[in-house]
Amino acid sequence: MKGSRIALISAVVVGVIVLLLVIVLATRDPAADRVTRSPLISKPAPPIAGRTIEGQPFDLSRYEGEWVVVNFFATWCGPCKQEHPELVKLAQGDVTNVVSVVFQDDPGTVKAFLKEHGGHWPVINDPTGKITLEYGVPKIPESYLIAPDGTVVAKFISGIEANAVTKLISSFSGRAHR
Amino acid sequence: MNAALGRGGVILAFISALGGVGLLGYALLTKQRALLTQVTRFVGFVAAGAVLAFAAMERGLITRDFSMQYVAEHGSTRTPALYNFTTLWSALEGSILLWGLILAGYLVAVTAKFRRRLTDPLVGWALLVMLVVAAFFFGLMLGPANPFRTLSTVPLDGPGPNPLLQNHILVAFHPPMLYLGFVGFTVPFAFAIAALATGRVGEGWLVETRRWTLFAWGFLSVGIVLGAWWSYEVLGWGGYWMWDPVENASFLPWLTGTAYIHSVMVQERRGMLRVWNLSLLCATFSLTILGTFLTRSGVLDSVHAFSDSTIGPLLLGFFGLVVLVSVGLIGWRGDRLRAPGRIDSPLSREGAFLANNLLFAAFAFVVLLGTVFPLIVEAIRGDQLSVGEPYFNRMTMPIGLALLFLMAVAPALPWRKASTETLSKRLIWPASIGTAVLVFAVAVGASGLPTLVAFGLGGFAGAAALRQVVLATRRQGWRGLVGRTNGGMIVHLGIVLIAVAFAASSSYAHQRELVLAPGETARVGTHSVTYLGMRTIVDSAKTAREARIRIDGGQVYAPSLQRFPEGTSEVGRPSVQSGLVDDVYLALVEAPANPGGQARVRVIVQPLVLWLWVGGGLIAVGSMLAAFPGRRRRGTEPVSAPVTVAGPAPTPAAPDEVVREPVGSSLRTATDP
Amino acid sequence: MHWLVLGFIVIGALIIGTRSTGPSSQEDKVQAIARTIKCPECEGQSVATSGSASSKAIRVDIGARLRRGQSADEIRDYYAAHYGEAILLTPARSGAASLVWIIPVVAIVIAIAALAAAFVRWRSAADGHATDEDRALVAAALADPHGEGSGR
Repeated sequence: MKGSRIALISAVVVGVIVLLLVIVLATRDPAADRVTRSPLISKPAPPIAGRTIEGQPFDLSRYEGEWVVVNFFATWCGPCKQEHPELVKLAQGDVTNVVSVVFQDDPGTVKAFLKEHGGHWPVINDPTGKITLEYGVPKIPESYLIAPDGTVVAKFISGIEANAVTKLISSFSGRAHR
Repeated sequence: MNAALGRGGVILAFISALGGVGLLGYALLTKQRALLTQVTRFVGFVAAGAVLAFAAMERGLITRDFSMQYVAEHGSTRTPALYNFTTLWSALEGSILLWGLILAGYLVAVTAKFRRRLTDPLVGWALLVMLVVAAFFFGLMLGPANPFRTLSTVPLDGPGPNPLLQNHILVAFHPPMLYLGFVGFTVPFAFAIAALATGRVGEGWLVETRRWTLFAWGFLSVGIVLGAWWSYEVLGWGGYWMWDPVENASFLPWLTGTAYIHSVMVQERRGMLRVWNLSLLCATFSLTILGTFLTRSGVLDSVHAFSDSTIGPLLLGFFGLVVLVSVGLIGWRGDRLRAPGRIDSPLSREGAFLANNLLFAAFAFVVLLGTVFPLIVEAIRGDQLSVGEPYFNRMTMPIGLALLFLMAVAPALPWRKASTETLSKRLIWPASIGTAVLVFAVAVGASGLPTLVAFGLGGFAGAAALRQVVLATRRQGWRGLVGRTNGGMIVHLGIVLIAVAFAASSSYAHQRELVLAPGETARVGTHSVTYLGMRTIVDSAKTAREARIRIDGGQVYAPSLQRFPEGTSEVGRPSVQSGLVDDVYLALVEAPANPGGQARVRVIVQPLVLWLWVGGGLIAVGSMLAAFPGRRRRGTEPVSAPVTVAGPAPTPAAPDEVVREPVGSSLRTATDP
Repeated sequence: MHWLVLGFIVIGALIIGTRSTGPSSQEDKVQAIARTIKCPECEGQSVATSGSASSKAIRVDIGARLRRGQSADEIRDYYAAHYGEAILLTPARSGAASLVWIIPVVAIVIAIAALAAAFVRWRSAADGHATDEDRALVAAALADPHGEGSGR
């Protein structure tokens, strides 16, 4: 009978669509664990030009031909304070340079913080948040690794680890030498 | 002690539900109808277990029994009594407990209502389905959503519920209302499945469940409006609806449920749309489960996601099961579902209901697609995108306007076929009022095509509903206000108010962020706000820094930033001056560092917001009037039990006999026997 | 006649109502764009309603870009290029994302067409005579005591 066939066909179609939906839903990670891939990866790093908190002029292009970690932080952010020793370790090593951009914080407070916890790399003031927007930083702490040719190769969120960065750099350099 | 009692209650309810399922299944399959009446005991034990578990949890909360993990994590000695009571539904496990209690309540109500007909297999199957659902939810409470876990080391105090859930009275009403609606749809769903299982897919089960459906729908509607009100009063961004996944999760079953309560009338009168109506009921119930999954599993970003947990996969599995069983049954019974009728003219009441259903189905589809689309794209493409408020507003606006138009025209349409003359006669006054509203709106400076169209159609639809109510009361006195059609018109008035208020408030909001020194005055729209100074208020639960702000030189309002002892950051608490014409919404963004400093205040002036809540109230009243008991026929008298008939049996009435030409008005046609 | 008058009034009112829109202020323009951009650090809120640090920075930046003469789409594209497509609350109108716009429209058009086809079929069936299949159906419906009309 025609009516029953239509009912059967629609039932099968609906069943299949719902099954697919269930599969899609079942294989999703929780939203909180999802990380947005930065669109900047393997693109030229956005320029950073401005003044450091000490008042000196700064331009990222001075590191051309070297590895740089660009870190975004603020002293009011807990995880930023936690990752600070790792940045100090990186800056003391000789694989990469470290540059920090201050995210909506008072330069005086930042200076005091660096005095207390160490850190002698350029810290750039970003009062209008322009650099932060250029890098598309949603939430600090966040760091970007920039290769000697000036492209962004990796993004680290919610805390950076010195060892992971060193390992990543040596894997890239190894590939480059081969 | 409390934990043991509660655990005992959950186990009792779970085992009784399983036992009831076993008993009913056995009795139905072996056709021992006398045995079916025994289900009352099992239902009684499910209810007793649910009440015991609920009471034990409340006792634990009230006595601050921190040996219970739930109390230790969500309760606190500082929380005021009311919010301490509502802490039960402030997190996942307690919410499931509330769900279980309400479901047990519905089980008892259904058993009591049908106590004389328990031997009827249709009722037996329906109770079986409800008991399966109950067994699932009490099973959740035994496993991943156990509210009665205990702690070996007992803390002295807890953090209290989420700060957002303890600073507004609506927290006491919104979740229970919403759950009464969500869970209430289990009843018509159970009867739909029962009708499919017994093969009695005629109209009997519809009539039996229509009042249950109306109750569930009314509670769900009120629950949604209260939720919007809560967002407005608490969240501090000045809006009440942002198409957040959790909001959509509650809205989806409302859409399909609304479609159902309209299309069911076509089936009652014309015997058509059987598959469609069954599908709508199954969709409504499965969407409540899907909604709970989306809310509770944490797969979607949401401002309302107050808890994550591991019950996601179970809910998803249950959703899949519900859909597969429903779809399978409908496919299997397809031959019996074939509609004998047809629709004579698109210009008829049934034609309008068809159009209504098309629009509601499209509405639900857009909302569902928009909600899950980011997940689908991520699964296929691997990267992410967002679907947000602008998408939903743009896509649903034309559907909403078309629905308003239908609301205006449909009540004036007779069943079967309308002539243009009657239609023109019945619609001229509502249309004139709609035009007058439009002209008035333009005269007071309203602009924007969609908004103006919404105003005009709102006036049109409102006048059409009013006309029906006036005609009915003139003819029937107070009875003209009760019954499904008349109550439905009151509901329509509520919906029109909400639609017009939504259009106005979202189109003509003025938002300014002001930085004010004490004594300074600023203007926003037609209002002036004067910042007077700060004040700090400390109570047992929190410390509030209030900015005292005078609006229009009159009353002083105090938006505040509240710090709860365990909370890491401050929670804003807006303050609103509500008026018939517009609301002035104040939110303190940044308090001054020193008392004489400047405060940063967000001021939003939005017109007609108050009418959203009035509309919600009208919906509540209208739903109650619609469910008001009148003289009714009984749908499934025992006479409609399965009997094998060899030859053509005498039939009570051919479908067409029921249809009378509406003389003067079509008001009585749907309600009267 | 009445309807004609009403029609003219409605059209007139709509013309006046849609024409009289004055130039919107800078802040309103910023708000309009901000409503379509997701707050990067919060869940599900737009930049327009969020009070977070990055939302404030983006609102200021939108204003600056508007003053520089950039169009709304250019501004949105900029954020999509730097934050990823997920920052936009309105999915793109091209590529896979455009399906979210197209599918509902197609579905609605198909549904309307199906409904119209059903009406046409019903109408043509109304003139015809009962076929044997119809008679069998009627007989079955009459024989089925739980079907149509049961309990009435």
